[in-house]
Amino acid sequence: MLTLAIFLPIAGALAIILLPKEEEHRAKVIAAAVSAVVLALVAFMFLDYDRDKAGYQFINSTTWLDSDFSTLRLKYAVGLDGLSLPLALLTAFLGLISVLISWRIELRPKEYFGWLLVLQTSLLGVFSALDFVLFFVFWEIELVPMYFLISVWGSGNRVYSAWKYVLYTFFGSALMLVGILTLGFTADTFDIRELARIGDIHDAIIPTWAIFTLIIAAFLIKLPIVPFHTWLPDAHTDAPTAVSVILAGVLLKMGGYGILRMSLSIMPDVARDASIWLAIIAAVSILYGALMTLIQQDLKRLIAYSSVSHMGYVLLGASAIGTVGLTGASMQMLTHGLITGMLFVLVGMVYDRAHTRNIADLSGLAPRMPFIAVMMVVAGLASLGLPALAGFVSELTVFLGTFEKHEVMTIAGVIGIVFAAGYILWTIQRVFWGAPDPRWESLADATAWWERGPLLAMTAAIVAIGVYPAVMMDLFESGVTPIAQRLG
Amino acid sequence: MMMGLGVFGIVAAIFHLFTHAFFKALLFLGAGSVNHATGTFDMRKMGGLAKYMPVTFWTVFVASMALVGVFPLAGFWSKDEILSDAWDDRPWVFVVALIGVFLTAVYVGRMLFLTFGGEYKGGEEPEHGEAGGHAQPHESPSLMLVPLVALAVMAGVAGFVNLDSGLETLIEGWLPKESEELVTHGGFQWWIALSSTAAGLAGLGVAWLVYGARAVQSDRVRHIAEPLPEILENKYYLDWLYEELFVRALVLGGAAWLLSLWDRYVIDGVVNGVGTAARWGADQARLVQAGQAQLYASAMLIGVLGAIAGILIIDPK
Repeated sequence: MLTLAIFLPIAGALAIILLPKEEEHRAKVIAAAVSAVVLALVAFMFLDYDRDKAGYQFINSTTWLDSDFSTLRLKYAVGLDGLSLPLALLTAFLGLISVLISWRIELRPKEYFGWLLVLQTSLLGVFSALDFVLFFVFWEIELVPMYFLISVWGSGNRVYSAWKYVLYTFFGSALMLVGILTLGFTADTFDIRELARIGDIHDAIIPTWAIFTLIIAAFLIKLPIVPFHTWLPDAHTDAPTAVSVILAGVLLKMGGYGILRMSLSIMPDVARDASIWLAIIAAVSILYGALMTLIQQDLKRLIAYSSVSHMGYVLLGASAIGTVGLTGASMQMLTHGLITGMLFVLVGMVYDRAHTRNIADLSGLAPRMPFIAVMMVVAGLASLGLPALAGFVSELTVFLGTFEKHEVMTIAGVIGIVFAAGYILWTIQRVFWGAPDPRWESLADATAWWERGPLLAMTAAIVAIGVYPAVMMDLFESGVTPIAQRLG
Repeated sequence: MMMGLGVFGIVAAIFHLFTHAFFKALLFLGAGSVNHATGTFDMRKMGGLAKYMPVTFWTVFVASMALVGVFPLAGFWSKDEILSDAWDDRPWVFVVALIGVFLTAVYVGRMLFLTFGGEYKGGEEPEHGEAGGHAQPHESPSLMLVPLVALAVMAGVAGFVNLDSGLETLIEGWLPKESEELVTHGGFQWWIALSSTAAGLAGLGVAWLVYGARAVQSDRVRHIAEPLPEILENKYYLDWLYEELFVRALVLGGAAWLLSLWDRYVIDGVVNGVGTAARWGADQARLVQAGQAQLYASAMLIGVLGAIAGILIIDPK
């Protein structure tokens, strides 16, 4: 069933490509239907997952590549555990939403929706791969749709941004590949479960810390951390709305997921030594990102920089190398995906109407578009960590988990929250309140079902997790506990 | 309240929170009622309202007297406990508190005389297209008056709950053992009660002189107190300090601005520089692939000689 969920989008993409030209308006319907089925499949697995047993479930495993020259085998092995299952659910959820909010795409719709579906396959694959090489394959596949989606359907300096994104990720991937190969050939397996069981490898041709650095470099670039973050504001700003949603909502989580799943659990000894450095990098990213967010003039760039800051909390939680911190880090990935995804949907709607994202030009939009304004306030409050909304739970858990280990860095992180309150409220105040501008007199609110539906669904998820976090947190905890045990 | 805590009058502090809730809530409600009638919060545009809105006036009057701490209203009892605790703990705090009582009485008196005394000054100017305005102020509807009266009753009698130390016993029961020893127990002393009442009455008297009888022009007071009024009107310049200095100058214009320059020119400069360097390097390297056999042959010769030299250097045998 998991394999079906992973490859169904690719099948859907093929079906879309085969549509005759005059039927191309059906592309979005097919994409929506496929995404809905995928979401249903993943949701079913989410409910069906045996929480008492924990560990990997829904495993599909078969030999993929068997070479006569070495004992090494590549496996196609996928499975979900408490850490990856919620992230897969997030992927499927945002996948459907990204299709819906693209309902008005007129430019080459067959290719657009086809690429969106390919992107879904690669993301689901990254979160469910149990073989390091398979993980790498899915990780790389994701670059192709992203490049085309940004460079064709983007805005502004889109070709530059697409190249920058691809080259940055590729740079990280190359380092990771060296790490993977060294690790795999020394341990004689690429199976993530096996690698985690073996633990740190000390007889490789390069020192263990070098392997650790090579692999985590790719994840840190993806997360991203300062100073490897500048691809993110460019890519976010120039990407079409739906792609920004997926980029912020899911793609960044590949980095966080990789850190937890690969770096911490396969090389726990190095991770323990590196913990303080990770915490320092995290604190720098949080504060640097928050300060940069404060002075952004472009709405999308603003949210992009806030992502840099918020993903710093993922790394901060990871640096605690304990169950609570890791749970917080994974919760932060999920809640940031929902909240920032929603913020990008909203900013996209404002941009579609006003055709500008410049904060200085926008003013007094709330009376013109009350629904969007209310949703913006909800998402904004969630983003700054208001209790009873999702963001608070994850940030608090990160702080609780990290404080004992890295006090100073945690305090620095909490200061980031103060800046977050500043930039979020100030932005909403400038854009939605203030004197009404005659230029925006004729703008309409979000009324279509494909606009309101996704926003209401995201709000429901944010409130649900905020009020009753256990629904996700128990699962994450069961997923990170084995990692924490290896670290402990 | 903070002073009550500072001198470890924990019971008195909580007691004051309790009584304060009634009369301060009443004062805000009264302000709302007055605003309902006049359309403004500017006291200089009011005046004479006691005549038009008697219920609001009397309830606000009760609350004001409770705030000043006039016997036997709620504020008197709780304030008296804090004062006597202050005297027991640190006498200079008691003196500061008395000055506070005096100032409270002055501003409360000013509020009462400006709003309810004298002649009505017309309220807010009616806006364009708005009928009527506020030429004739009127009492608020009972929806607003009932809460006012209810709160006025409590502002009057809430102070009696601690007459037999009932509240005190209750609060001390909740305190953890360690903090119980810290609690100051200043008992009721006649001279403290009398001095705070005197300070209050003196303040009210000053207010009456300036704003009621107009015996002293408020402009002259202002003139004498220079430059205090400017500082006060600018809220001690704290807003300026926070907004202009901390937020605009230091955070936005300083740290964040520098970081954005760093982000754009240094980090992205390096990133783009790597790209440019790669392209430049490729352009240079391309020249080698020119298809000239002589160039290839000479490069090959140099390469072979270099290889031989390398082997000889590393392994001369």
